[in-house]
Amino acid sequence: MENQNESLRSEERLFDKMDNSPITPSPMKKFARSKNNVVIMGVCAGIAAYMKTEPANIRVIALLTILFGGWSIVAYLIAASLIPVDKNSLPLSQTEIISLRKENFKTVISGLLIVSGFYFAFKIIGVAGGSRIFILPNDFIFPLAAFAVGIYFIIIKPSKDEIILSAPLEKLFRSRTDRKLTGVGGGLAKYIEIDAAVLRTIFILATLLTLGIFALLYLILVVSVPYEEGQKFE
Amino acid sequence: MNNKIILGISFLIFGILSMLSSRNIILLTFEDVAGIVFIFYSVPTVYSALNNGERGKLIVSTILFLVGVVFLVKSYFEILDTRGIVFFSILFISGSVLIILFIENIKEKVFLYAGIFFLMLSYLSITQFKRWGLFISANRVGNLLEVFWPVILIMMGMIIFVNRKK
Repeated sequence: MENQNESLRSEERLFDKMDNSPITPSPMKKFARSKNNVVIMGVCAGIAAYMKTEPANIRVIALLTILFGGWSIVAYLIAASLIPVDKNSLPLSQTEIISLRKENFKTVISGLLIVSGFYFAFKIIGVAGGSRIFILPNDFIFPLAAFAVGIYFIIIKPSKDEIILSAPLEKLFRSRTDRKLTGVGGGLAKYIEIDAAVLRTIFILATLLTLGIFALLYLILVVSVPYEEGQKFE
Repeated sequence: MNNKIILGISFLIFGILSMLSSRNIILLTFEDVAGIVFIFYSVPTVYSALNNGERGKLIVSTILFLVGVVFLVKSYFEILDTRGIVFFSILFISGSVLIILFIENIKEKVFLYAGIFFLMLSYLSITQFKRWGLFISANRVGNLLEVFWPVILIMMGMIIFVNRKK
């Protein structure tokens, strides 16, 4: 009984303490480079965390800014040297790292495709932005960029998760879950381990360029490839 | 050799050759440079991808190798019908990719049959299709895609961006 009273009193004291304590404002979020979500130096992920948005959006926007003079590359490098790395972020698990890398790779590829599309569109239309990136001419900048990318690929070390490769599928099936017409695209994409949407787009383009002859491949696969076993239609 | 090192060296070769050609030190067109780099990158990558069962990489490097060959052939030989070569190349490259997919996994016979079929079609495309007037219509579609190909690039980029989390 005495113990119960004692605990009640201590709780009351605690509540009193909480009521009397001054209201402290939540600490302002510090602007820092990301430690875990890194493509080059983690600046874009840092900006995204600060602005509470997706890092992929910032990355694509950053790539698009290259079209407007290319000075964003210099700004990026300056930002990377000035902004500290976020040391408080929690380490990610191996699966999270792998999925993050896959997502980042797709983001960069999509960003490069979009930027190239706009670059060539500007060139066709005749907008000045397409003729020259940076203060230097394009035939000087592109080889320099190739040098930089080449050196980057040579010096980066392969991580442990890159060495572990998942076993490829033994048999080609038509997908029951990822299907638009008969599941050939989804099944083939799973078999060759690429994005189904990209495969479908390439398929349509090749069919257009060959006046439908390429679609014969689709028919051959529909006729000869069975549906995936043990799965229900979605 | 690690695949990233091959990719890195390929970029360096591209940088060196395009820098030298832009300064007129060596006479190479963009197609020559791209052809050389594609072939340099694809030969070891096909080998490593076949060993590791990386089908995506295998397909990309096979396509790059053949595109590199087409670039070099186009650059060194005078081809009268350059649009016709696109029609033929798509069929020939598809056939070759299907054959290499069969080599990677010989249990999948469908790739072999489809590959042989497409290689035969590519042969027919340079001997018979022109007579049937298919190239004229293909050229019309090609002209259309030539104008709108930046839009196609942007669309593909958007598709990959939207599906990046899958």
